[in-house]
Order: sequence, then structure tokens, then C-alpha cells
Amino acid sequence: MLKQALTLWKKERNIKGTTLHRRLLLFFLSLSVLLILCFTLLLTLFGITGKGEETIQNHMNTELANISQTIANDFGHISLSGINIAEDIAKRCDAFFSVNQIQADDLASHPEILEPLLSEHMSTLINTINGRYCGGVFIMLDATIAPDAENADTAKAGVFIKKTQPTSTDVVGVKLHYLRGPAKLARDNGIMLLGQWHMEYDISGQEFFTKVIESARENPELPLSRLYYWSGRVTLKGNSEAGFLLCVPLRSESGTVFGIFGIEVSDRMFKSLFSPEGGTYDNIFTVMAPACDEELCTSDGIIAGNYYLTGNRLSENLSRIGNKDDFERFSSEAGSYGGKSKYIRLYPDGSPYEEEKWSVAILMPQELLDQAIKGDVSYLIYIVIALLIVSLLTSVFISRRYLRPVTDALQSIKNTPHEELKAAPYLEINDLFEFLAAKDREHEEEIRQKEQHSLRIQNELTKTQDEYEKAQLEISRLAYLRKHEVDPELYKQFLNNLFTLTPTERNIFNLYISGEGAKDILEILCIKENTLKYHNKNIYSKLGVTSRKELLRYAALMHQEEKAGNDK
Amino acid sequence: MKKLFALIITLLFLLGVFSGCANSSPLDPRDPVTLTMWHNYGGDMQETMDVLIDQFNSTVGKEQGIVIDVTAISSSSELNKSLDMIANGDPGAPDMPDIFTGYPKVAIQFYEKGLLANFNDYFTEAELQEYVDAFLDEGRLSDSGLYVFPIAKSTEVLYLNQTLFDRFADATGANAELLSTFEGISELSKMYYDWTDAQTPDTPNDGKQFYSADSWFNFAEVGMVQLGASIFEGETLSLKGDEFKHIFETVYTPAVEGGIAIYNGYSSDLSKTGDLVCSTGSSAGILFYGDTITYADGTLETVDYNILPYPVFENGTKTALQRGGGLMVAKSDEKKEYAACVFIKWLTASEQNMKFIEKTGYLPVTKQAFEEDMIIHLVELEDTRIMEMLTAVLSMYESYSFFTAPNYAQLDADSNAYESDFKALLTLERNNYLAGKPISPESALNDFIN
Repeated sequence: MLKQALTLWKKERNIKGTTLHRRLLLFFLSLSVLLILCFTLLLTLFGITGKGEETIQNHMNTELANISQTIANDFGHISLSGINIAEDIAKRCDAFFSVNQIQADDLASHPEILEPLLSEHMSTLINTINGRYCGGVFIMLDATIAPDAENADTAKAGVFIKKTQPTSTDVVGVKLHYLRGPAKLARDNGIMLLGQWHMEYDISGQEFFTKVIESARENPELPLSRLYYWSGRVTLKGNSEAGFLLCVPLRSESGTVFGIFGIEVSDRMFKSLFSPEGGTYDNIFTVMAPACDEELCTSDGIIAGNYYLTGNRLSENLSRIGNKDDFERFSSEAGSYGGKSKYIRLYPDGSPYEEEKWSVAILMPQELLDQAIKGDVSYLIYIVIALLIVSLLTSVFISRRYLRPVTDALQSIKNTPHEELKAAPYLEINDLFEFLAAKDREHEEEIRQKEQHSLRIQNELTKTQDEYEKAQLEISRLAYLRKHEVDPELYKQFLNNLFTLTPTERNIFNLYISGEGAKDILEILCIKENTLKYHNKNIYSKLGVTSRKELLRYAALMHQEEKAGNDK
Repeated sequence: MKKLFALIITLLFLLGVFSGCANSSPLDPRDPVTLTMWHNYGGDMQETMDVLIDQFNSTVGKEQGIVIDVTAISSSSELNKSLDMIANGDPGAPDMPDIFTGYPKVAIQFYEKGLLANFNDYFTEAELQEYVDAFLDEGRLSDSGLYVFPIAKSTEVLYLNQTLFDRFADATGANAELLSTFEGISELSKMYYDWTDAQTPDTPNDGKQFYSADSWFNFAEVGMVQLGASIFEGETLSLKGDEFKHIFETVYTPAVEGGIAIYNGYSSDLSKTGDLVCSTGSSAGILFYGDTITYADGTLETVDYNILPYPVFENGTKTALQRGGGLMVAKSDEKKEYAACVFIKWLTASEQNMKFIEKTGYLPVTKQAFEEDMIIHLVELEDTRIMEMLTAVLSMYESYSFFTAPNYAQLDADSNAYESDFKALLTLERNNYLAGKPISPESALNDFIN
């Protein structure tokens, strides 16, 4: 069907031909398309087709280096601060124990002193939270205000103060909220209770407290700088916000570990501080999570960035599934991701947690990463399309402009006398005009000559006809005269004897009538003069004439009568 | 040639369509715009808002190229302080968020400096007609532009710790009907203080407080309306007249004697520790009350809360405050403003609005949700506290008039000054009372007014 249509089109085209403009436009377009294709091919060959693999490699490497370094520094500073504050709190607790004449290891059996003990440290906690970026600060004591209660094992006294704007250090406009602790302490310090406030912590199902306390107790020789611990992403029971918790043991001078002091790096704080620059690539995000060789424990990690993930977390751990295009690939049931990761050290040598690895990764959803590696060709497509459109429009414009003088000239050739043709911008057209004008002049001269010739012929014809008519009149006159001069009897004999002539004599007779002379007859009939004379003698004798003149007179009379008979 | 041009134009049109040029939206999913947001839906409400925002980011936001990034969650008063700093250009003020919650009184100062986007520019008349007219009217400022978009509304109710009250009533015969008037509450406050004080005869003046109001300014402004007067005289406060005197005295005596709590915080804080029996506050505060009392010795007591209509001064008309702020959008470029409005349209659409309502106790803002969806979903609510709250509020909407404070620039400052001065005065008077110094409601009122 297509072939038939194509054939039909070609046939039609051959019949009708094409216009100059269409043909020129086609040439222009072909040239433009060829140039654009060459341009695209060159861009593709030289890899200038988008951001490409190298660009995203550089971007991710830079982001990873910067963010991992910042995280390492910030977490290091928070750890150092936490250690110093924990040492200070522990010293003041020792003083408090001394005043109240109890031993640190006997704290759990003195619930009545828990509130006054915590009260001693409220100003420290408030100053700490106000003076730094953090989501909250807390003290957890290994004691409960109700040691006889059923849940005494998992209830821990303490204070947790949250900060509504974790990355602000402005005292004005930033309010503190009270998540855990005796309500009286909050009221005394003008801190509003959160809706999720409870007096004590419930650590059931949350291991970080026990882990830190037990580790510190098992390693009494280690300084606090080796005993601090960073929890994975923790949401305290009933709280609506999660975060990493720095936990530093509170250890008395006697070596008794009686609680922990901590600083929270909340979801929002992490997101504010450690999001990758999002202007270059969309959906790129930072993950900080505990890690091992095979996987990133993202369920215990926090993410930061503009990717549309629910909450600041990936709910499942990511398994490493290898490398592709120099990017690490991770996978979970929820999705696959790719990017770069780096281990960071949160603990110094000699720490009981030194083997616990943490990783910072800059990731993107796998399909988006693959797209980024291939490069963003969309803008190239737009450029090519734009070039095509511009080429098309330019081709239309230029071909029209270029051909206008030609078409105008052609039109004017049709409508204007060639002598009056106006000069065109093209020399070739002007030459054509001159050529046409010259041709016109030649043509006109030829016509003029032909007309003159025709007129002359006409005149001659008229003259000849006049002469002919005159001759005819003369013949008629002569015939009339002869008729009246000729003896009718002799003429009758003449007519009757015509049939007695032999064929040769008849021929000679006819030749005489047609005006031939004797010499002519000799040549025509190829006979000798004597032969002619012989035939003449016979002719004259048979027809009763004595001379050729008489013969011709009778013949003319006969011819006149025949003509008259025919006219009738 | 005409055909060729027609072809070119068609090609250009198709290109426009495929490249998105034909779309009037300035958004580009490949170049998402990130909007910072501050809101005051903290505590238990935070999770609900977080889920909604995540849902938006991963659906409509992803499709259209909008990322909502919540950078601050705090109480409205706290946000107001930060917003004040921004509006006044104070040194150290944080960057102005793209979207933030607040009351019209806060909006005025931003509006006067040309810092707010006008929602009329982004919502069609038909779209606006889907919202409750009165809620929209609250957000219209002097040029009739809509600058505060309603997201969820509330009124004030009386929260009653039914467990504590029953215990009190059983012991003293206190009449629950007295809770319907402020005079009755004043009387019950005295009784309750005396009753609790008497339980520890060895320790004088350790009675417990019965009632408090989250906002004493709201208490006064609504009370004035109930009594047929107004606390506003133009754009100033008018504290004169018998009506105000009556309101003042209704609180003064029990507050000085200890039955009414003057507290720099929300009443729910006191309720959680059993230090209060009832309080007036926002209907949206239900989640802050919990269902337990934590006593100082760590023991927990499970209690029942009852939601009662807002009390009325004797012989007054049933009037309550219509409250609840809205969302404001910082004036920036068209792309950000448009993106913010896409988010707000989505968030306040009936489906999302009802999800928020069901988890927080706020009132929806669309006519569809307010007049139909809310009633249908009421019986299906998982949280009985919210069900009780919405039931009480709906009954109030049938029998109460609702008052909305006028919008003027100094309102926020006036109300804050009133609140702090009132608390300071009553705290001082209470201390004088405890110190045995003479006290007088008349002189205190004079001091307060002057």
C-alpha cells in the first residue's frame, strides 16, 4: 500500500513537476538537518550530552567528602561537649550525694532525692540546650521515683528537654519543651510540658540505656572519653520525633555508674545540617546509619535531603549488592539506591564500641542515578528541536526572499513587454531580460520582413492575376474574333478529324496547344526535326490546316468552347 | 505555502504541549521547589501533620515538583515571637519561612510591610466558595485580600477532669450544674480549694486549684460579649464598665484565695499532674490532656475527661470564641507562592482535612467536611476523646454564637500585655493574701485598668 502510494506520488510529481521554492526549501532543509545531525553526533561522540557520569561522580564525591567530614566534626564536638558536661554533672552529683549523706550506688533506694537531684542540674541542661545546635538534652538516672511499682525495672527517673528549633541558638523566639521529668521542675523553670510528657522514662524495648550503663560498669578503668555511645535512631516511647542520642555515662568518683547524660541529634536537626546541595541533582540525600560490610542499617539511621521519603528514614536496611559504574548499589524490598558511602569513626581507639561502624552515604534512587549517569539529554533534544524549527523557519524565509526576485521576474516576463522589464537584483536575470529583449527585436524584424515579403508576393499575385485575367480576356476576345474569322466548315472538319490523329500526332498536337515550340517538342519527344516535320505534315493534312498558326487558332477556339461548356 | 505554515504552527504547538510550555503551572517536577514551613501542630499532632506532609511530598509534591520542608514546630505563641522578630527586622531574626501558621493579628504586621502573598491571586472564586465563609472572612485584611488561609478551626470548651470532680462532688455535694456559668465555677473553685486544703489540716494554704483559663484575655473578651458589651473600643481595649468589673471580680477572689490557677503555661500541664479540675481552652488542645494523672510520687491514675460547652456568665448570651489560625505564605516569587497554594489546597481538601481533624480535634474548614463529612465520620473515630470533643463542639455550633476578635495591628501586643499584666496582678494579690496583707478587688481593678 505504501509502495503504491509512493509510486503514485512520484508519478504525480513527475507529471506536475515541482515549484522552485519547494525545491529550494527542500535543499535548505536537507542541509540544515544534515548539519544538526552532525552537531548531535559530535556532541554524543565527545560525551557532551548532559551532566554525565563524570559530573555526578565528582558531585557525589564532593558531597560525601564535605558532609562526612562535617558529620565527623560535629558529632566529635558534640561527643566532647557531652563528656565534659557529664563529668561536671557527675561531680555535682557527688557533692549532692555527700550533702545528703548517701552513696551513689544507693541512689535507687532514695527516690525522695531524685527530684532535688535533678533540680540541681536544670540550669546546666537549659544552658546546654540553648547554647548549641541540638534537638534536646537529657539525664537518665538508673533509679525510679516509684521503686516498688510493677514497672520499676523499666522506669527511669530523669529529665528530657526538647528544643523546638534545633539549629537555632537564639534564646528569644526559641522555646523549650519538657518531654520527661518531674512537672514541678518544668514549672519552676517556665518550660511547657509537651503533650507526650511523662514523669519518667520507659526503657522497655530500648537498649541504649542498659548498654551504656553496663558497658561503663564493665570497663571501670576507661575514661568517659572511651565510654560514650551513639545510639541508632531512637524514638523515645510516646515521643513524636526521633533522633540519634549521644549517651555519656554518669560515673561518681567512687566509680559507680548511676545514669547517663545525653544530647539528641534530632531528625530535623540532622536534616537541616546535613542535607546535600539539592540544586544540581534532585532526589539526592544523605544517610547516616550504623553499617557493616554487607549492609547499611538504615532502619536505625536518619536521612537528610529532598527525596520524597516518608519520614526521615528508610524503614528497611539496605543490602550492598555490588558496584556498577563506580557507584555502590544498595537494595531493599522498598527500593534500590545507588551512590557513594564512607565509613566514619564515632569512637576513639580503646572504646568498647570501637568495632561499631557507622557509615555516611550520599544516595539516589537507582533509576534516577542511572539517568544521571547517562546524562540529561533532554536539553540536547530541546536544542536539536529548536535548531530544527529555526532551520525550518529560516529555510522558508530565505528561500522566499531568495526566490522572490526570480518569481517576480518570471511573472513580469509574463505580464510586461520585455523592453520594459525593470532591472532585477540578479545579473543573470538582467542578462535574461536583455537576451529576451534582443530576441524580441529579432523576432519583430523577422515578422516585419515576412510581412513585407508576404505583401510583395501578394502584390505579384495580384498583378499576375490581373495579367491572367487580361490574358483570358484577350484570349476570349481573340477566340471571339477567330470564331467569327474561322470558316465553320473547316473548323468542323478540324474537330471531326482530331480523332484521326495517331497517339504521337496527338501528343505533338497537345504540346503545340500547351504553348511548346518546335524545339521544345523535339527535346520532349526526343525526335528528329524531320520526324516532327513528318508528323506536322500529317497533322496539318488530317486537320485541314496549313500552318501552325492556323492550327493554334482552331485549338484556341476549341478550348474556348470547352471552357464555356464547362462553365455552363 | 499556507499548508506549510499550518504544519509549522501545529509542530510548535505540539512541542509546546510536550515541553510543558502550554501548562500554566510555573512548577517543574524536574526542578522541585523546596518550601520551608513552620507550624504549631506539635506534640501528638505533629505525627499527623508529618504524615500528611510526607504524603503530599511523595504524591502531589513529587508529581508537581514541590517539597515541603518543616523547619520549625512550636507553640503558636513561640512562633509569634519569632515571626515578630522577622517582621520587625530584629538582628538575629531567623529567615522568614515560606509557609507558616499564625493568627490574623500576626498577619497584619506582615501584611502592612507587604510580606504576605494574597490567596485571592491563586484561588478561584469557585474554589473559595468551598470553604466556610466565616472562616475565610477571618483571614481577610483591610484590602479584602485573603492573607490567612483557614486550615483548621477551633473554639473554646470547658475541659473537666470528671474523675476528680466526681470525687469532689461525692465528698462535698458540689453541683455539676454550676459548671455552666463562670460564677458557678468561681463558687466551685472556692469550695474545692477549701475542701482540698482541709485534707491536710496540718499544712495551711495547701489547697488545690479548681479552674484555670488558657487565655485570660479570651476569657475577658468573650465574657464581655456574653454580657452584651465589648472589650474593644475602636483599636484599643476598653476595660471600663460594670461588665468588665463583674468579669474581673468573678476571677479575682477565687484566684487570690487559691481556687483558680494563674499559670504561665497551658492548663493541660496542671491537669496532667492532677493540679486542676477544669479549664477553658482550645478545643484543639484535647490531645494535650492525656488520660492519666501523674502524681509527684510517680504514681499514675487513669482518669476520664469530659468536654463541656463553654461556660456563660449569668444572664449572658451563649457566646464562644471562634479561634484557630491559618496558614500564611510569604510573598516571594510566583513559583513559590503557586507551590505553596498547591500544598494548601491539597491540605485543606476535605479528604486530608478530615484526616487531620480525626487525629487532632480541630474543626474542618471546607463546607463539605464541616457540614457532612465530619458528622458521618464522627461515629467511626478511634480516639474517643476526639469524638467527645467534636460532639460537644457540634452541639455548641447549634446553640452558641461565635465571636471573632477584630483584626488590628496592636491587637497582639494589647492581648499579650493584658495577659501578662493580669497574671502579674493576681499573682501579686495572691502573695499579698498569703502574706496576710489586705487585698481589695476594687483597688486591684483600679490598678489593673490604670
